[in-house]
Amino acid sequence: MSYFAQVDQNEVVRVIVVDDADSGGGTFPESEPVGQAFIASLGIDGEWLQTSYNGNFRGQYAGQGMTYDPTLDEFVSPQSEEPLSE
Amino acid sequence: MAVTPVGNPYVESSDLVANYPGASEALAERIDIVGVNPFANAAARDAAIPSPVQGQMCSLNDDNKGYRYDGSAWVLFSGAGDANFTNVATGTYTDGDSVDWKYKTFTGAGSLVIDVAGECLLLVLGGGGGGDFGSHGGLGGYTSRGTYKITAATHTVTVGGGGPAGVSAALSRGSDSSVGSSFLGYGGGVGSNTLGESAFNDDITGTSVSYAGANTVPIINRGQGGRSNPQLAGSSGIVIIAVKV
Repeated sequence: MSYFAQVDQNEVVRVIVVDDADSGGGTFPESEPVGQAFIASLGIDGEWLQTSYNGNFRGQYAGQGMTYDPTLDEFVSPQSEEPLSE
Repeated sequence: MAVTPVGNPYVESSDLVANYPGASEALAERIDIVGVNPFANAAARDAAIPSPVQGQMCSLNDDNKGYRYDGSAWVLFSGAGDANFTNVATGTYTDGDSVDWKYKTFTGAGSLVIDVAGECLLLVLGGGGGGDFGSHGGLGGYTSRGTYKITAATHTVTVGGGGPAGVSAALSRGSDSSVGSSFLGYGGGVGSNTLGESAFNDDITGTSVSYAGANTVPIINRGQGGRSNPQLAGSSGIVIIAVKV
């Protein structure tokens, strides 16, 4: 199985599954453009980036609400605010 | 003899008695066309109606379905019978009432091609929530499951991924699964120590399978919430459609 995260303005909206057969075997990075083309062929709009369920690439497995950092090419969790010091 | 605004003949008081048989025959012929007349099978229908007119309807007793003549062929009433898909079936089975079914399982995104609108069995299960910090396992994906009427169209199917593990509750939700814009299975959220959707069994494929367990159960099936210790992501959802054959 391959996993693709939809990002909107670098925020992860959802993650869907694409069968390996529809993503060129599923091996990243070669599988990404194949999977992207397959998703587009289904009429599903948006920007899609492959993510690893086991966190083998792009930092960690993407989740809704995470951010994609194009500089790091990683999915990152939002930073929690530091407590204010007195 | 007069006719109603929609064309159905009737006898008026001014009609001659001698014309009653003709009026009666005209009424009977009108019933042949506008009525839904039952026949044993298609051969009996074709023998009785050698020259159907567009819009004429009938029902057949061998398949218990209704048909409408579209000007060139008898076609099923949309939604009146069982749906059919043209995808290659994943498998077939016979249920306890000796009814034969075929089903298609989607473990990833794809297209569901329905060429005959009607009823189907549908299971749409969202991805399970991810295991949270500490002792909280993820919640199983929510389901849309049952007998539905589906339209004749190519429906885009999405299968939601499970939510990630070891992140905050807000980020651990599984993604939704969907069939077109009508059927949705929500992704599971974060679980708790005591609360979680119980696993349920489904036999839409003819074999009872457990789905959407939650909390700290190992991930063995679709829609499962992630385990808390060790922390595991939720499992992916699934979409299954079954139709009678």
